[in-house]
Amino acid sequence: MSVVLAQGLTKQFGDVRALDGFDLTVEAGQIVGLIGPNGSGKTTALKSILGLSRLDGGELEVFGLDPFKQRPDLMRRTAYIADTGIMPRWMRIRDLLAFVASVNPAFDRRTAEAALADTEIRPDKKVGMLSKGMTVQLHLAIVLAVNAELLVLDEPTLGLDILYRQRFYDALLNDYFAEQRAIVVTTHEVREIEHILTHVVFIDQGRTRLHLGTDELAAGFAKVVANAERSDALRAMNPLSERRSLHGREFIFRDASRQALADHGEVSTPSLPELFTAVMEER
Amino acid sequence: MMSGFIGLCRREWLEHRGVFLWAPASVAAVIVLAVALVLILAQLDMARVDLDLDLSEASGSDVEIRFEVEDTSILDLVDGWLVSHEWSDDELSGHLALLRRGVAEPFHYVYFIVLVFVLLGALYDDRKERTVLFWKSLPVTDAETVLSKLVTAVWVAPVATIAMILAVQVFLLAVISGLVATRETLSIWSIWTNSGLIMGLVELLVGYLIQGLWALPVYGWLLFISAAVNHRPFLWALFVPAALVALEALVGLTSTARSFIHDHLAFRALPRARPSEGDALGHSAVELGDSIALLVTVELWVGVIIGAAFLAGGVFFRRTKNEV
Repeated sequence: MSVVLAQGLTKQFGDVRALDGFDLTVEAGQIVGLIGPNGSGKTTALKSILGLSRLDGGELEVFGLDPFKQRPDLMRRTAYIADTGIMPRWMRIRDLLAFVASVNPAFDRRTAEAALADTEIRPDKKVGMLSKGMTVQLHLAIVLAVNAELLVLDEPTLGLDILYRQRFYDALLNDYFAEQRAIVVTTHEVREIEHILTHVVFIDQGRTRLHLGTDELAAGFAKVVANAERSDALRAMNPLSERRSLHGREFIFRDASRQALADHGEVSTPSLPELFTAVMEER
Repeated sequence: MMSGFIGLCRREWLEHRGVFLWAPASVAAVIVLAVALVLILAQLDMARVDLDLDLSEASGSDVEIRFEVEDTSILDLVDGWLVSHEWSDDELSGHLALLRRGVAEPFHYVYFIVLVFVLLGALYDDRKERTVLFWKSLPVTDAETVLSKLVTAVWVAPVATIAMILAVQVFLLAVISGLVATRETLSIWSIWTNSGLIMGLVELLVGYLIQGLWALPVYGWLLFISAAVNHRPFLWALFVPAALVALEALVGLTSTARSFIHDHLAFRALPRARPSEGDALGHSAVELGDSIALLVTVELWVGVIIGAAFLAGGVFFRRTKNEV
């Protein structure tokens, strides 16, 4: 059974179609990056998956549950971060951990405490006394101590310095991630999570533009850098996108024969950010 | 399941314990300081009063009862009253019960004001501060969340108020004990045995328990508004019922809404020296029996049903509204 199964999700806010036929499947053992420009429907999609907002149409199941109607059941198997920097300011960290432990049987307080012991965060402090970065650390420490089958992270490292960001993603991949777990993560910094993803989903204007395993990237897409004379021939081969670069012109192709392309220039595999730009320009 | 609900209530208490403790503590401090000030001034012979009370009308008899003193120390006045005659146990316990309930009244008002603001903020503040998504990441139903907020504010928090009332009552009895210490007409023993402190404690506990049910339409309404509106919950909470009452007055056919709101805002179940105007209880104190009698009235249970409907509405909005 798929962890997340979403087909043709629609959601309207007034005149704005936040979701307009969004599809997504997530299986256990996948780390899926949900990537899209601002206002593309990323957050709306995540909120529907987490049962925080009601959909207008489409079919959505998470662990076979209706997320909106069965949110408490869903939350027994799911952990998420929606707003990393925001935690109850009036609460002492010790009380916060005790509270989460009292309502969530899947939360392992000792794991969280061990993670916090590596930071400057002291349990007798109030959340309001923490810096923005420390608040994020606290939030991540709590969410990673939940023994969840699905972890959803919406821009998890916003406001963190680069050193801590890398440590977080390393910990996520090496300590947290496991065969029976699935992770969905959104970010505007694709580069940062590129190396940990098993799958990417590009979303734009509420619709899925591309759903791809990162191991299929090389087979499905090719980048060619060519000089001006060769450009016309490449354009005739129906590229996904074309842009000017320092080395000449860069073309990105989908499902094209690498051998045929190699006659015209240097062929390589596009990076995720390059592919993202290409797919977005295609529309 | 149950431990989760207790955890939610504990969270509520932690968030608001400051105001739930400090509000009654301030009232207690004011009373204690006022009494202490009078005692000190009296010791310094500075608290002298002129009194001219005509109690004829109040007594309801034709006999003229007049109470007149000039330039007399308050201490002497109280002292004179205390030792004026042989007190029977009934008389003494009646007066002390009046004092006990009277001193509790300001606490009821302050608690109610605090409660209004806590309930109005309960499902609104976390949306405004955007912590609501964090709370919602936990395996808790929205109904449990709303109920925990109601239960903590309405049935747990009064314990702090009751403790403060009890402390002030004990303090006043101690002062009276001091005043009668050297008198033969009254013994300290008879003051404490007739104080009704334990009975008073039961009255308060049962009173707050039942008042919570009696005022449930009000509390449910406040939580409903707290969950439903995006701005200015206080104004909404006030404006809608006010508009309803005004509309009703304009049409001029009924006064159902007006009297319903008026009734359920009253402290019908709380121990007081005298019930509020329009109370069906007559001019006696509100006692334990009166509180319990409310439980078998249709009015209380109609109110509970209306309150429950507001709470259900609050749960409904809590499920979908995450932002303000």
